[in-house]
Amino acid sequence: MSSEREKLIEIWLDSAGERQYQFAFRNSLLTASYTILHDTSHTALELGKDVIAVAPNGELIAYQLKGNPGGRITISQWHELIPQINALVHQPIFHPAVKNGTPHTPFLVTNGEIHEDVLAAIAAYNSSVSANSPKARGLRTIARGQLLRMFFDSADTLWPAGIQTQRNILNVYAAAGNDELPIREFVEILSSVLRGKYSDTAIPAVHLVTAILASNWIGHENYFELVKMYTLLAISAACYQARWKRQRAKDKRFFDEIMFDVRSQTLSFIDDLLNNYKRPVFLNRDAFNEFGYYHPRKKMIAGVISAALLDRDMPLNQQQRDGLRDLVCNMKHSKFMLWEGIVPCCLAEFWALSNFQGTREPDRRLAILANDILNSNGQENPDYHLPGPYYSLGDVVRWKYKTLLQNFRSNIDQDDHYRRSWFVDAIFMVLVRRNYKQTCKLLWPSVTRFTHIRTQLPDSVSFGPMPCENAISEEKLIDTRTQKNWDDLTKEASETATPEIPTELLSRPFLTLLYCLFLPQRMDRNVILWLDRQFCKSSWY
Amino acid sequence: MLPRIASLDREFSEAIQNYVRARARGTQLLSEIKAHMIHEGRDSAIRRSTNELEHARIQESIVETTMSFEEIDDVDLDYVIKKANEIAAKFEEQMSRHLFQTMDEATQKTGLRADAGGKPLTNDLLIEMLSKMHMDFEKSQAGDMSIVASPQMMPVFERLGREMEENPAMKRRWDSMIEEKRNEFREREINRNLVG
Repeated sequence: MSSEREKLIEIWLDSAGERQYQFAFRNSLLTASYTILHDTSHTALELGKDVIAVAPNGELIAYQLKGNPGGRITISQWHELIPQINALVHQPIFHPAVKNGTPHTPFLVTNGEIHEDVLAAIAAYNSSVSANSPKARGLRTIARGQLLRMFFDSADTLWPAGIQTQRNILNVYAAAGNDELPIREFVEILSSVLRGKYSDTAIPAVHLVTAILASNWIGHENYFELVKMYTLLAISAACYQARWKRQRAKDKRFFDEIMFDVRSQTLSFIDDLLNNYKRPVFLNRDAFNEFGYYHPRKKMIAGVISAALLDRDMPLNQQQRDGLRDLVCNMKHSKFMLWEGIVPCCLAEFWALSNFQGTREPDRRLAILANDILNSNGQENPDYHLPGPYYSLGDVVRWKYKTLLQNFRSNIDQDDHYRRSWFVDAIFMVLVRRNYKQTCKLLWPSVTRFTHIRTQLPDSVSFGPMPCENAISEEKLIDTRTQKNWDDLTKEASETATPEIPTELLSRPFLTLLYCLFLPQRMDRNVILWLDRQFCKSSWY
Repeated sequence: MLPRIASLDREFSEAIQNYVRARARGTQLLSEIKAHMIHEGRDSAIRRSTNELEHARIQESIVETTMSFEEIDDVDLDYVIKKANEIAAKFEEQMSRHLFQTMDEATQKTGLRADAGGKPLTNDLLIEMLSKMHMDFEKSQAGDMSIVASPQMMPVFERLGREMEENPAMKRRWDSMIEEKRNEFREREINRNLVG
């Protein structure tokens, strides 16, 4: 076991809350051949026990997890914990897999230290338990040192071994948490673990690695990048599962744990936004430095919060929900259309607005979006063109302000976008579905002049973030030898679009949408039309 | 290993590649063709309808250059530019050859070709050729087209122009052909209107 790996795990554990280390704790039990009966990381039902497991020797064990990162449980905290400890110790376990009345051993688990006063209080507590409840067992503890040992042992099994992967892990870990996620290296880490034959440790391994790498961004409260990180992890895990015919129940639970993290990071992002940016000015520090991406960033924020509003399982309270609705409805946008990569954010906003606004404003915004793409890329002067979704916002801003930045080496200059678009065809179909006949009639001549591009993936497994070697760059031309009529288009728009995505994602439109905000090139026509049906059930056709 | 400044190596490599790429596409013919990047995968295809997907052939271009040890010892920017120009010229030649080969294959497949069988170029042949072509009139009233010919053909085209002006019947045929093409263009443009 390398000392670097141990150090990384140690740093991570010292910054993790109870929910953040719960999955790793559970994985370490699985690695030590325990059978997990109950895990609260993806259920609200706690029963005073976060994890219930059966040890290899048949002993029934209940764990209550506490987060004391970098600290210790003090005597005053112990007093606050007593009601929960009583439930942990005295409340019997009712579970279909356990015979009623089976005694259990209660464990208090913390990633911090336990103060000596507390150890004495626990000893006194246990004496009273044995005196008053002969059937109940005394409380035992697992503190930071034992927890680290458990994680080190399980990491021996889980941790990816390749040199290149190790190097990428260190590079990502060394990256500044107040910057963008080094997405290429991170995706390579995920891909290196998830390639090859099936292994039931693969998903927990990437989850553990991601949790450790995330600590840097958590430290800077850079929640946008954390949402991105866990979303990429979730999609990679879904694509990994899709490679195997049999869906294993264990993998499903691993996936649910990742989804828990996606939602919890999204909630942290929302909290930060609502509490720290009350004035509608979204600046980190300095308008001089941030003006280049100020407007698209606002739209990206609108995209993420719209996705959160569209997620039925997002645990938002009424205050948060109202705050987000106000933001999405009232945020004024302009000058955000620097490249087509922003379109998924616009669509997320459109679907959210369509769900809670009774006006035609969202449809109007969508029609303007289509018109803007057609106008910009319909001009011969490349300075007006909108680059495609494969370019990052950073690439596009560097290209747009090349004279000011004295940077004349952009690939965008070699990639012509005249009369080419990745999204306008699908946006047009969304307008057809809403019966905007006159708007569509105005747009259609320009739509037919465009080449409509997408990356055709060979299978649903390739939907993941790793570039696919067998993909085909497809250029669609609209046949104008015969004149199309409105009925042709409504028929086409009403057809069911089947996206090339893993089965697991078909029941998770929120996750698919979130992923497309970060990897817009994966949002092709079929994905858009499918998401449109998922989020807006009442469109005309 | 000799002392190395890897970041500087990368910057020069990128700059020279960009220079060669721009210069190789610098001829009038190639510069008119828009270039696009394939961001993912190795193939591209054109979809003309739901069931019709035509795979495009991607041609790899490879160019070699040689440098003697004596030359390398005197290396400077002028030398590098000279070599880069050589490479660009070879790339340009390969790309042009590939372009004409592709056009040859496409016209053979579709039958949209006129072969004079070694006879001299005449206005009749020119009209016959152009009448087979798909022609747009977006940028020019005379038709959006390019004629590629060797420089020696310039006097021939000048002569054909004079003949056209002096022969009213030929001029009428030419105008009629162009008008027909313009009508086809108008029809295509009308087809872009959504009806119903």
